[in-house]
Amino acid sequence: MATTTTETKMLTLCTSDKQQFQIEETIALQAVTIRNMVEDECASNVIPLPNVNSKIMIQIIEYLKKHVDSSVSKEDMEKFDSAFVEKKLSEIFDIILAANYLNIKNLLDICCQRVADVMKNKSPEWVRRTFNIVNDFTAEEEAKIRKEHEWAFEGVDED
Amino acid sequence: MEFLSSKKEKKMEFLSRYSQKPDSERPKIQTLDRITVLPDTILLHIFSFLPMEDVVKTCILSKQWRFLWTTVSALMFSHRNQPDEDLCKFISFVDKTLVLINCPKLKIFSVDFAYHRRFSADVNVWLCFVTKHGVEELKLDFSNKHNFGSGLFQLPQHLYSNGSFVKLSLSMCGIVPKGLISWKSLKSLTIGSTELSGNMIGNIVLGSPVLNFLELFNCWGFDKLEINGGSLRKLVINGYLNQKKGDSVVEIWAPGVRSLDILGCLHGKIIQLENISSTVDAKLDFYLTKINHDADDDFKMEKFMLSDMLVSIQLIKYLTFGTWFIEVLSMLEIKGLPSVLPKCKRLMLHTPIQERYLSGIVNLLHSSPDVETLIINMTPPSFEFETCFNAKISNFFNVDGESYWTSKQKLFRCLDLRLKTIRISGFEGRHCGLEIPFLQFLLKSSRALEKMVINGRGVGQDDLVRGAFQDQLQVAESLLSFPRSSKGAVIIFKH
Repeated sequence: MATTTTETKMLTLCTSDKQQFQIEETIALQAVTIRNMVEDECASNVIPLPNVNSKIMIQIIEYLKKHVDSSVSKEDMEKFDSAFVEKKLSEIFDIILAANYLNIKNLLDICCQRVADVMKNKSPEWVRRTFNIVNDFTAEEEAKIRKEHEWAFEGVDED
Repeated sequence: MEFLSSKKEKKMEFLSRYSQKPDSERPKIQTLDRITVLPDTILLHIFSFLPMEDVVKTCILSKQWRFLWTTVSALMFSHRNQPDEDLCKFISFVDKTLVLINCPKLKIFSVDFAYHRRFSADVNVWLCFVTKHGVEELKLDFSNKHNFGSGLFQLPQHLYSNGSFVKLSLSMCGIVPKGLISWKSLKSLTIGSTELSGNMIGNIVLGSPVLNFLELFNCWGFDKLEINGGSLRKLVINGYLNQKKGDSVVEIWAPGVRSLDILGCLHGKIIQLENISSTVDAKLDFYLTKINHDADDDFKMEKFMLSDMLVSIQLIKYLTFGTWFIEVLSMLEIKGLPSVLPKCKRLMLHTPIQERYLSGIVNLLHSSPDVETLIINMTPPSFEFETCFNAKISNFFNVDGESYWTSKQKLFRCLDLRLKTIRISGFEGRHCGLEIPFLQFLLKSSRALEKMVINGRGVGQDDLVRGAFQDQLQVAESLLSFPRSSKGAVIIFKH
């Protein structure tokens, strides 16, 4: 009788700044983009990820490592997720772009949710300041749009 | 007053510094606008997590944002837990938003508010919009506790024939089709808080050839659920509002269903599983409320329902039992009821380890000789239990935790050969409780055990004092020191 040896298969990911990450295949395959590359065999040993830098990759691997663990209960996973997105907005935007490129749906969802939570119930002025959005309307244009959408701006505080 | 004015001045200064002056004059660190440069698909995805009120307001942020919101494909409107006097504003907000939407194909349309019949014209227009834009997921939650039963919104007839719906969720909507139902893409259907007459569900299943998931949430009016043909795989009956006095029965004929959940409060309704011949996975986590003056009459009813159910589920592989079921079973065991679940491979019990549930647990372990995985959630149930049994019956439950299990050992055939995995959640592990002796017994008797995984009950911030932590450590140490009859068994703690 042959004994079955389960050898963990490893993948090497290469980020935009030429850093290499060796991780277990099961962890990496949660990213649909990586899975497609492996399945289509268009990548040999090293998978190039030119849209992700090493700083973000470290965080994404942290996320994937947790989510591959099927023994983690739903509540614990939610706790992990909500702690994971407690980052500066600039970092969240980096992760959003990477999660979008790598096609990791839940990661994209929790980060978009985080941005939405910042915007929720806030005045446009507050949103502009928080996200550094430059208001390129003239005062007249802005007044006109506000008038047209009066029904949506009722009861909105200045702050 | 001084404070207020100075605060305002500061704000003005801030505004003029950061939003009015040209780029070159602003401090560099503040100028990076990361959000506007995101691809539109991502911005629209962020919108899908926002209330529509906030989505519409983004039109004024800047020129790039001006029309973006009108292209959203997920429209979610909610007016829950908000003052009633704003309801007209909410209705008018939905009306106006729909006029401006500029997306030819919509994915999601969801409205959640306490419906009143004076809004029926508005809602009917919205639903024309839904049909016209090929909405795939429609959710209408019109629950209104002040308006129960009267002035119910009746679904317009055009909705009963719709090829776009993939997912439908209807709460407190009258469902009375005049012709045949045709939902040829529908995969998931949830119906809540409404009367379902006669063979309505059967007709829905016939008209929905790819329907896979069906949940009935606190519905009433049906005495028989006949699901023949179709591709329904999962059926959930979550509560039943029994309008009639006295006991009455719902017969379930669902020979194609693979997974069946019966949950929530059934009031006085008895469920009889007449045909569930394909079911491999069943969850019985429901409860009945007292409906008779005499507790013995109630008990007769409960006994009838459970005895009947235990026969119907004999061939099911994955079984989950809720606390109420186990409590009644404890009573039945005392009165000598046999039950055998020979096919059960995974047994899941939601029950605290307390005296009143022990004989129910014994009964289920005894009845399932082939169980390989035992999962026990020890957290107390959410509903008020004390009302379920009177003192007379509670007197039966006087067992001594320590010696109790050992005396029953010969009953458990699964422990001899099959049981490999035990998963415990909601473990509290107080020294005086019965949880530890139970685990001690399982470790001592399970001869094929490979692992026992223990998840503690969620420890709050207040409990994270040193004492509590050390208590847990002690409990863990004593569990590890107990003798195990399976040499290879590992114990894993998770907190």
